[in-house]
Amino acid sequence: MFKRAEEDRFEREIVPHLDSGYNLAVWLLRNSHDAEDALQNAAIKAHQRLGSMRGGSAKAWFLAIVRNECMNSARGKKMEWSLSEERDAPLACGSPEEEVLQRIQAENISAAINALDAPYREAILLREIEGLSYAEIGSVAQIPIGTVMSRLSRARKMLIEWLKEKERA
Amino acid sequence: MKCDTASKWLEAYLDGELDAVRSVELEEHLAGCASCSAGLAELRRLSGIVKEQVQPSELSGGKRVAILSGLPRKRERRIWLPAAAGFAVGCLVMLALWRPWMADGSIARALVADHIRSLMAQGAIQVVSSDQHTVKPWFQGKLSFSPSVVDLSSQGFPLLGGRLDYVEGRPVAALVYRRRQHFVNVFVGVGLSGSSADVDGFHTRHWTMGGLDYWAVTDASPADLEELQTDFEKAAGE
Repeated sequence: MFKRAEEDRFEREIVPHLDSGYNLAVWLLRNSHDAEDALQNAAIKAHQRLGSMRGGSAKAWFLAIVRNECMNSARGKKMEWSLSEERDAPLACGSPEEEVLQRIQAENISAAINALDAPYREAILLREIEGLSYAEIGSVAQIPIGTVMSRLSRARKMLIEWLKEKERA
Repeated sequence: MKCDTASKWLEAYLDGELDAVRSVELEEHLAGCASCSAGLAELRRLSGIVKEQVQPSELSGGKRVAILSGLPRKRERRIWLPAAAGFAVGCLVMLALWRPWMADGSIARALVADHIRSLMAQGAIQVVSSDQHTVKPWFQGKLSFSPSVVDLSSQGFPLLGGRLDYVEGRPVAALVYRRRQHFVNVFVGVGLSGSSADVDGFHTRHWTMGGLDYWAVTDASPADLEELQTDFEKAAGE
């Protein structure tokens, strides 16, 4: 009597990823209040556009919407970061030793990730915490797989440097 | 394979993104190269630390309900909403008028109607909290009895909150729990005895405890309700 295919599909495919969406929003916006608002907007958009979701990973599809809402939120608040910033120096050229890596000052690993610029923070989160594949990260962040790999690689180098330095101290 | 090629492939290998042929080549290289093996160990260690120490942020139950109830209704939903609301109100009116003649099962029907109404209405939860020590005192002064309120989140029924409701003209406490993506209303009241029945695809389960009647209503499975009753009684007895 109350079965509705669309609503059921939303429950089945999107609702299980609300926590992941919230987690991504918190990491990107660094603020739980803004993250809740972004997630709310993303849920409404996902609900409206569910019919346009074709195959693929529902999680990646939903996280892409969440990310977009986070960008809108950051833009509205004139926050000092951009996710589309093209600062990805290709890792293939130049040996890692020559690279100037961002220096991180942080107490623990969460704070260290939080100190990374948004594109790197996002790549690490989606890979290590959310377990997305390179292709899925690419579709969430709207970047080619090569860029996914170079961002992940730089993020990891910075975090490994931080770990080593912390252990030396 | 040279080390500079190997080092480029290490992360893809770690992330399970390197194809089988290259994986074998890399493994052969790693077997004979201490420096690349150390690099892989370092990447693995970082990955382990991140997975172990970074706590994902969790959405609170109240916020989850707010988000889900804030979704715009779709058109096909609007067709049945007034119908269901009419049905629920009709049930209540009929119950109010016909109570003396109603067969057993009328309470189950009234509670299911209330459950449906709570799913549709704003204010399904008047006190939003996953903390039993917040929800229970909220009922004080609103009811002439004191319902047991227990947190069952570790048993898979997170408490979302509670509200005051009226069933068959009697005030009842409604505790709202979640079972996976389903809501469970646990109604607590006096003189609500009756037998558990399925109504319109919803399940009900009745038990008594401390002289009060408890009714759990949900569209999750009857087995979930049985489990809820067992967990509820156990937690309330502790």
